[in-house]
Amino acid sequence: MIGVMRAEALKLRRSLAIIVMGVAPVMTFILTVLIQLSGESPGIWAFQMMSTSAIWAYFLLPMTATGLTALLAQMEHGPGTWSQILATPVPKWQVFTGKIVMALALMAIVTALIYGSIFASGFIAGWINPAEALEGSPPWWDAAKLLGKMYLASFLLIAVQLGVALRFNSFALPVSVGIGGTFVAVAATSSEYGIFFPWLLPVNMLASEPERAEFALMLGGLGGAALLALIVLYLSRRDWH
Amino acid sequence: MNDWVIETEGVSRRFGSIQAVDRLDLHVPQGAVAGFLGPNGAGKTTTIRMLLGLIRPQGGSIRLGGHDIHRERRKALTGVGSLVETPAHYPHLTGAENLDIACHMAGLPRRERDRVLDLVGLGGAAKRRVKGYSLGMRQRLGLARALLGNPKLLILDEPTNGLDPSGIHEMRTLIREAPERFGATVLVSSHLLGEIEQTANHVALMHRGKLLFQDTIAALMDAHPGGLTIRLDRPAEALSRIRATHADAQEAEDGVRLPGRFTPAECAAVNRDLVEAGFAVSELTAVKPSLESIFLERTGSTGDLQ
Repeated sequence: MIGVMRAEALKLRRSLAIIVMGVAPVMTFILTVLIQLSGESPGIWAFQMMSTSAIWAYFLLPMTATGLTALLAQMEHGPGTWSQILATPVPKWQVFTGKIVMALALMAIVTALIYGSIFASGFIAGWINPAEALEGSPPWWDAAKLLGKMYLASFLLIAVQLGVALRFNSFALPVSVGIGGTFVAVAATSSEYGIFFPWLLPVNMLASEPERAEFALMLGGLGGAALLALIVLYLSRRDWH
Repeated sequence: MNDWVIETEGVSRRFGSIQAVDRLDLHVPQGAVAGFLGPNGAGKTTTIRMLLGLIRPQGGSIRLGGHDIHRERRKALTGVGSLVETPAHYPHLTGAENLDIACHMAGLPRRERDRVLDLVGLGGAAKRRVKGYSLGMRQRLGLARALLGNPKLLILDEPTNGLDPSGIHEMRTLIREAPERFGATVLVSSHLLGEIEQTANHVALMHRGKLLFQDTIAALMDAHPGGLTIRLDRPAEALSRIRATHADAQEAEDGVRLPGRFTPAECAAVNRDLVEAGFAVSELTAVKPSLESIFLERTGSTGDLQ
């Protein structure tokens, strides 16, 4: 399995996935700095954390997951690539588990960068214009907890995106599913059934009702893990033409 | 205990209403370079995919090196190098990095990468990105990948695709010498019958999912001895004379055809007899069958062998 992971890591060298990983943190950083400097923000760290997390959970997390999973899968969708990999003695489940672990690892890194951007944007905006410096102490632990939960809740969404991207030899299909899911999520926010929608599960970590957040965390985390296991099982057993 | 490196028994696979492979009993002995031939849709690619465990057969069993491909997949595929379809590479990575990926997965040291790159003549281009490689270089890189770890069985699907004449020559030499140089058995599928004739010593012919023939090329040639074609005046008269000594002689265009294998002395004797009998012999040709003519005869194909 270590060899599979080393191979997956090497495939990322000079790949577009590395650039995609930087897009969301840079965008949130710029956006939050501009909001803070505009003087329209309440000027407190709690707001900084919540606004950044909301932008991340609503739009950038699902779009980053869409882009990264599609790019990771697309690397193997060239003519004969799957055949070449799966005709080796490496167990098929390890090949697909490697992809999943890499997708989850990249999303974890992006989440960590978002965490960094919350504080970087707050400090830098305060340094540019001390009058807009945020009040109170930075919520290091609260932000880590919130983003960590969002990450776990996004497993189901990542599983859906990765499953589609690995199963179908198409870049357009998983991207369409991701864009569709992200926009439908906006409309489904107020829906009673919105809590079951994979693209909304990370957003539910911001819900004021603790039960809603807990349910979304369970569904996203455990449901995602279960779906990822099913994806490995299915892909390992199917014919590769 | 036998020496079959590839052994299939009653392997079948159907796609919808199409029987792609029908009760295939394929046996490739150790140390052979076996050509795998068949026209479009014969079932060659499906067979290769089943051999490599990419497609499950609906019936029968497959053993590579004595190990069942499904029950002992890891053991069966250990020591198997393959090149299926177009060689697949990561174009954003260099040739060396592409092989590093395969080495990581197989747990092989880096020196193995350098060895195979030199073997296929890509040592100088190892640090270049694959997107800048020519088709021939990509093909060589695919072969280098198949050769990683000194495989005991090479399964190659159309390995000369995209190669220039010198590349084809090198590839041909490499395949032909694989048993001696690497101790490898080779199964090579190709639509270039002349290519197989020059590289293989065994042959398996497939047609419409069924195996028509498998044995050494020499045995195949023995079963199709060719003949002697004679052009002369008064063919009907000549035919009745020749039939006195060669009962299976047949009438041919502007002459007579004698099936069988003829030594130069036998050809001369037939010629002498006809000339002494007053026939004007204008042409006498010993026809040696080619793999292509045998193949076309066996399959009833008209030429498209891809």
